[in-house]
Amino acid sequence: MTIQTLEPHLIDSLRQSAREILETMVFLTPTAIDAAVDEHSTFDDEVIGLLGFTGTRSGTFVVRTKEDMAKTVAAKMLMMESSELGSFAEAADGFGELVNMLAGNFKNAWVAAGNQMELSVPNVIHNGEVSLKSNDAGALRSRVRVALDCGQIDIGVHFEPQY
Amino acid sequence: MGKNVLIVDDSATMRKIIMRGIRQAGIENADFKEAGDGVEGMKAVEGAKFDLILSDVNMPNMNGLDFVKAVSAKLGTPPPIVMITTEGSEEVVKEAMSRGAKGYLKKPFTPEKIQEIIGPFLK
Repeated sequence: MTIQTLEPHLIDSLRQSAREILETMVFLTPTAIDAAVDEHSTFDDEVIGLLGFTGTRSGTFVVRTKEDMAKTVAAKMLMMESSELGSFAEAADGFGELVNMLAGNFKNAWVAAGNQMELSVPNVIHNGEVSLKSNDAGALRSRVRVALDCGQIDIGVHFEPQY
Repeated sequence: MGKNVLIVDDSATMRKIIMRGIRQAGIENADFKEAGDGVEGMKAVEGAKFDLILSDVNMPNMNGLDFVKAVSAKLGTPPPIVMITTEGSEEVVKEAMSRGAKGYLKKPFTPEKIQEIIGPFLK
């Protein structure tokens, strides 16, 4: 079964925007950003940020990480320590905004390539399981893995098969 | 004299980042009110006078483009509205401006960019 991946220029755009957003808004510098096919369409990470889209293709933007990393992202966006965050809801809001920015910047590149895309709003799942409709032939599953000194964030773009 | 600024964004984190960014840009005379979407934004606009409105585009209940249109329709002389958003396509920018927005700031942004785009409205 063939699973497609994004075209190289869209992968590059994802890499560049991940770096720009993390450095500008989260004050974290990636040590490496690697791209690959996303091996799975079902996830059970500690924190999963989801943002659905429709348009030329339908699918889901999925950003996954550990709970500590999600808290670090939210705290650094607010220039606070992780321990100063209240409930996880506060961390989820910050992490959701990261997902929002990543998806928004990807949309800009996708639209610039002649496509259409409408985004939903982000949802953050804490200690849950998510299954996406990207398991059949014709689906597309790309991800970039952002390595940071304090952890790792996986940014995935999953397109549903076109029937 | 303080400037009243309304920030409309569904992320509480982003609203705080915007407020901090405005202060870091050296704009000390702003008093902020927050709204979580366009519906809350309209309630705020109906209840108080603002010198500047900053609004996201992609929000639940009422998105930023509809919010701009609603404010422009509601108020005879609306305050300037600057969109702060990830949406960067020419089509969306043009639509926002045609509905009454006076400026556009793309996320991610630096304090310097805030000073450049938003600063002039708060002088």
